[in-house]
Amino acid sequence: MKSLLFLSIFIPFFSNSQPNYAFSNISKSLLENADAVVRNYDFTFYVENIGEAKSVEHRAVTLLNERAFQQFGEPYFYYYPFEKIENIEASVFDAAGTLVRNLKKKDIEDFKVAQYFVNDVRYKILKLPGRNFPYTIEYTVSKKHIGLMFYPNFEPQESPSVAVEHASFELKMPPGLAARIREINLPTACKKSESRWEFENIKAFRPEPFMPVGDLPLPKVLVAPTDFEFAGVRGDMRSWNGYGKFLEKLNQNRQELPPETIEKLKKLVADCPDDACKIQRIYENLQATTRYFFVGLGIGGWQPAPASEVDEFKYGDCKGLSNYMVSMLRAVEVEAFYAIIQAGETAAAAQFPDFPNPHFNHIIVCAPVKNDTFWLECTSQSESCGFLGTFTDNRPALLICPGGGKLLHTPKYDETQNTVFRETEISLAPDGSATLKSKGIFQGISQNVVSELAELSPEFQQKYFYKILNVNDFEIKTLSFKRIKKRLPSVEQNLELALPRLATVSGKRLFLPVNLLSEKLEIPVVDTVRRFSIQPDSRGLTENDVVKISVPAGFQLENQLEPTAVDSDFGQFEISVKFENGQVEIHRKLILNSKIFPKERFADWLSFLKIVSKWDKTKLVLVKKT
Amino acid sequence: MKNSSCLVAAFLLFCLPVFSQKKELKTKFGKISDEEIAMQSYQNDPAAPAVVLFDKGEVTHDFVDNLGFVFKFERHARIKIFKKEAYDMANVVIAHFSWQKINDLKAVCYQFEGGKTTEIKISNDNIFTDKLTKSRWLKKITIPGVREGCIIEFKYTIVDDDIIDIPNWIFQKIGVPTIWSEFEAAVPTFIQFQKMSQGEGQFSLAEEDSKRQNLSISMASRGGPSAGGVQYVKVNYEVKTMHFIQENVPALKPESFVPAPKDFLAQINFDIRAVYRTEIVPDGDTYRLSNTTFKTYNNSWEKLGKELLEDVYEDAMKSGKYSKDAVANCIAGKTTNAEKVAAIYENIGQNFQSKNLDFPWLSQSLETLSKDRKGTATDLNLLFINMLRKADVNAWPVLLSTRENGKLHPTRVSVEGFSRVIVAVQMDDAAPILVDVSAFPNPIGLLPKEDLNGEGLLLKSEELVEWIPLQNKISSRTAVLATFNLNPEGGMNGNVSYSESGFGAVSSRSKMKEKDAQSLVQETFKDWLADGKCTDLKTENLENWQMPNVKIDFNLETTAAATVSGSKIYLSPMLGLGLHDNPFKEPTRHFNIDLGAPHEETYILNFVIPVGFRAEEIPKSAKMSFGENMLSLDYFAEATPEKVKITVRNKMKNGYVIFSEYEDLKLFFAGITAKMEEQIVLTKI
Repeated sequence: MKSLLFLSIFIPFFSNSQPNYAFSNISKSLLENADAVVRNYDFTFYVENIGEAKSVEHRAVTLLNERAFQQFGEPYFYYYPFEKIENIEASVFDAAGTLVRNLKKKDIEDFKVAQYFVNDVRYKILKLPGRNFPYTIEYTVSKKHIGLMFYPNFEPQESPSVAVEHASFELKMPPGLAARIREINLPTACKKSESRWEFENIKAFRPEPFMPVGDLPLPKVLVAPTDFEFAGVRGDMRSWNGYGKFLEKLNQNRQELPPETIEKLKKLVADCPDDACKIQRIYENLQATTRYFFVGLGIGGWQPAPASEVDEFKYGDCKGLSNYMVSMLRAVEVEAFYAIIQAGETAAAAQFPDFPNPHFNHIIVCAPVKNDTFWLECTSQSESCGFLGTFTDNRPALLICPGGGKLLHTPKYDETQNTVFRETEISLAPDGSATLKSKGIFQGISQNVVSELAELSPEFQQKYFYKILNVNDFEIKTLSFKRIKKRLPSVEQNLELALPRLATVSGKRLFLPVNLLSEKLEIPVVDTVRRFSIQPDSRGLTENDVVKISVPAGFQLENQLEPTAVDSDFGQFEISVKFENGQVEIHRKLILNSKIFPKERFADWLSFLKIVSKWDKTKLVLVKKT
Repeated sequence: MKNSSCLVAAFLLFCLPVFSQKKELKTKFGKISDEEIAMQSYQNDPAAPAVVLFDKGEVTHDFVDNLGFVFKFERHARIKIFKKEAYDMANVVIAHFSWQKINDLKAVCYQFEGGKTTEIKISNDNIFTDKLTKSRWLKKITIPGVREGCIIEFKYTIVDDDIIDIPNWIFQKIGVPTIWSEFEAAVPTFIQFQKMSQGEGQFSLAEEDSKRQNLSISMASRGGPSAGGVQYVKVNYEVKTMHFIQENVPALKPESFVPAPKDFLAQINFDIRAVYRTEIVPDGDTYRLSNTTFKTYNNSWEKLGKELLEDVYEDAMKSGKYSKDAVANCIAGKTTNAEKVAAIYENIGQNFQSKNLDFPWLSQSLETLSKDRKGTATDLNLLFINMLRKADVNAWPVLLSTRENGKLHPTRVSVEGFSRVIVAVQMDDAAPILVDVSAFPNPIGLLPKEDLNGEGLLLKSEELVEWIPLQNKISSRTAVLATFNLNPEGGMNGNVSYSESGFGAVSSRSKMKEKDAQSLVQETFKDWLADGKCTDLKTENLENWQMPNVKIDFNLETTAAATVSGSKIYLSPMLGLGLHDNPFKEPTRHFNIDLGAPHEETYILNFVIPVGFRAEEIPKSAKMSFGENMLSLDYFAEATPEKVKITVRNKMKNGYVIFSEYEDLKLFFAGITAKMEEQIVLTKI
């Protein structure tokens, strides 16, 4: 009865409307910067009870080009045992808004997500014909949700390159059950009531260079449950503590290890003076004996495999490996917690610490040691113990502690830690050829790329360097990496090059670049007024270079290069060039911080960039004195 | 602890000799050695995502009474998978003819976990048949259960009692090393063939021999009391035997500027030249086979082209069902062939999407194509011919192999050798021109780069098949002409005229469509505009796809090109124009280099010297060339008291360079990039 009633509410809503999807009806301002225009997007989430809901998504999108096709052309819908697709309808309209075709059964293809792994998440993809841009696709998808840990977030504008003509979100709750709402970046024009939000004319925009990472001003309505039920377990999402309690229930009785394993682990740490040493040994043991393999069947998408299974089979996904790690640490009496986190290089700001919600995608381990908390990435076979890279740094993580959840912030690595120190010696011959010897120490986030390289074959390392080094003619004589695994890990890189024509020879002069190995900063092309705030670097970095060039006999430095020292809010830039005893010595230091500056400071930032960039393009002019 | 690991080591050693001294592969289907299970990586290439443990092929032509000689090809392979990148190895494709039988097909994935082996076998759901033409089929097998650390194994036999064949054997794989690859064949001498081997692989065994053997044939007895009975006689005949093994064959690793790496795989190819009729003649007390007249065997590209024309294309080109109205709408009011061709070309180009896939056959019916509006280049081009013919324009299919698909090798004839059909259109004047509708919005006459690969096979009719060169009528050129006034502070301003024709024009238009002309200029002259601005932008032909060129004029003001130090001004005249990044940096090269389509760049830059300065030093004029002017650079610099003029002409005619000339090529490009960095020095008088 209930579902019949449900249908009678929704179906007339669509069939009565007389959509006109003619391209010519789109207002000009919505076409600016847009790859696609959402003509209409109505989303209704109908919570029936604590553990069940229905949703209907109706969307009509006009696709303007190939990029729009990549994003919208073939819509796909996930489903798995907790979320079932009940019905899909779709149609295609041409530029004039005339119906071209309705979706047929054979236009729907069905795939498994991550097909080589064990899991039961699948998706249906709609193969809607068309490419005659502009054209419009319209679809309606109804889903049944069984198990309601997730309430959907409504994002009318999915990405900056999409404009929205009209969108609405309606949330229906049964009596006695409340949802929690958080509105993000809502335009002032948004019409809203207690349970309905309506959006009109949201314009597309172009992201700008040096925007703060992961901070696109897209409107969102976040929705999360209060009381909920998932896989037969009840939970309370009003607080992180409550959500943590729920997850604790899911993880219950999954930490037991066989006695032999416990015995082995105890032996392994027998001579350790402190917890830090134990953590180190156990982590290295985990890295040496297990590997990553994703398993996510049913509730297994949220529940770790029992530690005893991981112990036996020696593989697991982030849940299984992290739970195993926690169990091993507890076996040697080190306190440790399973920690859920939103991972991703640009996802540091994707969670909302003051709005408890279940949108996480990764698990790590937190082991609080006095004054020195360890965070452990358990899916990597080579990461330094206690170091988190850009995948999980500087963001909230929810620790599942006995008795509830606790939100903690993972470490932020800044420009004092993310450093490059490099000493380079160049020996230059009169014909412009040179040999170069350089030793660089990369630390913190700055060692991310080189630490990965260090694990690869020499063949690959060389190939990579031949590709990325911005020098036109060179031969790698030596290239080696040494990883120094510490709490703040570093990598020593040794490089020796032969450069047949480092300097350009023009008559009696030699021209050679001041900046050979440091990162060069690109000055963004600016053709419009700055819209967004500015972040010099996503993490902050310091780059320190000393370059000594021995100049061939009889040559002198001709151009006068006055030292520069800029100390700005964005960072520092210092450079000096000295010529003494047949040797040019260059000192260069660049510090960029990760602070966020208002858009009004863009001109200042640009002038800082120009000073750096001008120097990066400067050439030393050596002239032969006769 | 220590003892047990010693035991394991000893056990492994004991298991090692899977390959015995006699160069013989001892293996039975399903009998996986402990060494193979334990293997974590391949020692000669530890980063390899998989290793072919063995791949063995055997060809026989045995005589079967009542059937005659029966061709049999048996293949058995086993592969260890280390990493996800190699999961594709579990997709096995068997190319065969429709009348051939695939016997004894077996395919298994073995998973090992906790000392236990799980076998996952294929079911009928894992086998698909693709019919490329009426006779050429593909059997596709997807072995299920693949994961890191597993072993896959497959085996099949192709049997043909009608036509004899000697399949080619490829010893090497792209991206995956091979421990053992073996090919054995026994061919009766009434089949005459040529054998060619290529590639870097070393043979650890290459034996060729001949032997005599007997067949037994039933003959109706000639008269006598037992007339009507059957009598068996032994007939002696000669067989040529071949046995080749390559061991530890490295993975073929693709390099840049190699559009078709598979052209370079280590392989043996057989080209059957003639097949003799045989007769049984008495030989002393017994009989032997004797060759009599012969039939030349012509498995040629031309023959294959005719087969495709007859089997596949004819119907599609003739079919009257789908495009009649579209054609009528398209050509309404158009009279000349050129107008009609342009209208239909635009109609298909704008309404259909071209898939990034190439097959020489139709991937769908024209009916489905005209509904879904999405097809391969071949699908679209056949539709194009269909529509042209309805508009009374003569048009024919041209079969080719795209650059990515590789060269058409005379002895490696196979249906996958071709990859695309394009169109030869009869224009109003005499010569037909080549068009590929999948390349829209290229102007007509500009084939996409992937089509420019040697010669294509023009199929006018089954009687009239000819090779034609695949070349572009429209040449690709970049030109910049500019005059700047320099000031003593290092700033300069002036007028720039920039034009692109051919491929550059098409890409300029598509970039322009994404943003605007201003952004296009900002991207092209990035280094100048890093500290400068452009004004008074005028464009020509940026909207019209039919025009071969685009032109942009603008005023430029910049301080990025010059720096002032004391009494000197140092000026970078090229500042980001021309080639600044040498595409060839790696020290060694394995494969020949395909530089792509012809291109020409011209830069004429005038710098007016500020009053009170003179040119102290200007770059030296130079002429450089590579390979009989295949590549050339003319750099010309001249100074008068008033101005410095730099003229640069960089031409590439036909870019195919043999790997042994790599060092010279690398130096040539290093020379060009160095030349682009050269500076002008002005001094205060």
